[in-house]
Amino acid sequence: MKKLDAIPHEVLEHIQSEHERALAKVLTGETAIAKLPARIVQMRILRPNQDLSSIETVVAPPVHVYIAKDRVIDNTLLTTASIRYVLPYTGKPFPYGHIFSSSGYVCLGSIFVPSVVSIYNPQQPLETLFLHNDRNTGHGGASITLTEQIISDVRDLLAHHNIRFTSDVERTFVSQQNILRNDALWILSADIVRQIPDILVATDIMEHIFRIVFRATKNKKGD
Amino acid sequence: MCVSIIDQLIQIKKSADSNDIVNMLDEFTVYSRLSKIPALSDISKSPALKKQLPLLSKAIEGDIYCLSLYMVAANIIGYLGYDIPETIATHIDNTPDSLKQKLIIAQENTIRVDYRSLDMYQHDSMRDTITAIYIHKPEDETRIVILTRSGKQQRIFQGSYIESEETDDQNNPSNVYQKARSLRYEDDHLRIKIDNYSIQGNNAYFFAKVKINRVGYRMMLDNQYRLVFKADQSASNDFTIELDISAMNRINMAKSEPKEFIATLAQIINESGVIE
Repeated sequence: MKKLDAIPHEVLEHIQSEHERALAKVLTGETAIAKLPARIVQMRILRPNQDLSSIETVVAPPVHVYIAKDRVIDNTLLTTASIRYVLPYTGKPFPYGHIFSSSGYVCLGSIFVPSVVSIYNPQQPLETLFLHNDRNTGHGGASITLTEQIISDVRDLLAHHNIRFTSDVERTFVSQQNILRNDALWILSADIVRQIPDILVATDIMEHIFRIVFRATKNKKGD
Repeated sequence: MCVSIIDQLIQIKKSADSNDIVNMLDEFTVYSRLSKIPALSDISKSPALKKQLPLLSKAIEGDIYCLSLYMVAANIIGYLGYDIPETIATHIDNTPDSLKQKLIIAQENTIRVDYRSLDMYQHDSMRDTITAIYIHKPEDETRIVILTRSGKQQRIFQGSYIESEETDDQNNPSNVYQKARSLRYEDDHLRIKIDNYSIQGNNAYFFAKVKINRVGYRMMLDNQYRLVFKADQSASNDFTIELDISAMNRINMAKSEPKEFIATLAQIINESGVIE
């Protein structure tokens, strides 16, 4: 009898979808159309003391994409308004500017996002927001705040991997403020990608950081 | 020395936080292998085996705690579709009735195991609580048991599924998009399945499943202009296909049209020479 250290990918995929089918049926009438892992994406970020933002390679948190069952057009298209982005660690809306913090739907604001997308590209509206990233959390009310404990845990993790906090991270990755407004998480992520050439390793480290940041956020009193 | 049921329960409670269910399963695994050697087939007659398999040998001797562990472990082994070695099964079947009564009390009070269906397992919130994973694949079926522990609460998630290429119920209107949402390509030696990909080019995640010469891989398009293939089975080798500018341009031109995108990927894989 063989004991495994981790659940194989293909098994995990099956049992996750089983779980979500059961949940969707009972709770929401929605279905997860895509489950995207933590992965590198292109994102516009503004570093401290810089006047201009620039597109950099960062690691985005995993996201589950939900749609209502009756919102598929001709079996191939989705309206952006029917897509809901959820952070799998918390089961709550994906925390990002122009994503409603109450529901996970896209708050279009002044950013051009295609109104209809292919069902094969349900991440297109979110990744369009990544490219524009205006740090405007007034559209949707998204928020990520850190505690000293989270910062300490992230420092310990990075030290374990011999990764240093860069000066930009030191300035931005701080407690008691909404770090979506200063790109702290994305600057940290971009600097890790720069220091770790293997993107799968960099992604894995960022995945650990996301788990520290978002799980701790979920457990905050009153959250 | 005669140990009362109360003493035994106290002893069991002290042990309740341990990983003894997993330890018992480990001992089963060792014994299944060793029991094929005639001289080692009976634990009760082998001092060396008794030392190596303390929980299992104590269960045979009638220790209530170890018998309780045995019952849980045997359930898992049976669910996965393995046989309990006959020499052990015979010993346990011969357990006196007085011991069986104690066993019921011990199981109700101390071995706190909660059985759940596998579809109740939620990886994101439970992955850190996993203590062991067992998978057995008799023919097309995959049987899975996941053991978790959170404090004193131990859970056993059990479930199985039949491997099938076409799992979507086309006649169910609520699943109307399920089939449509998988892009598929197939020729004699190559199969590709894509559920989603990034039109912006953020495809450095395993967005496709590929079968080349009947070997399964997950595939991604990384930021170094490479198609990266990771084999589903450790026996097969991972490999990459380096893309030249022409190939990247073809992918970029095709990515806004899903069917062209998958056909272009197939063409590039076919041209690369990885298919025998």
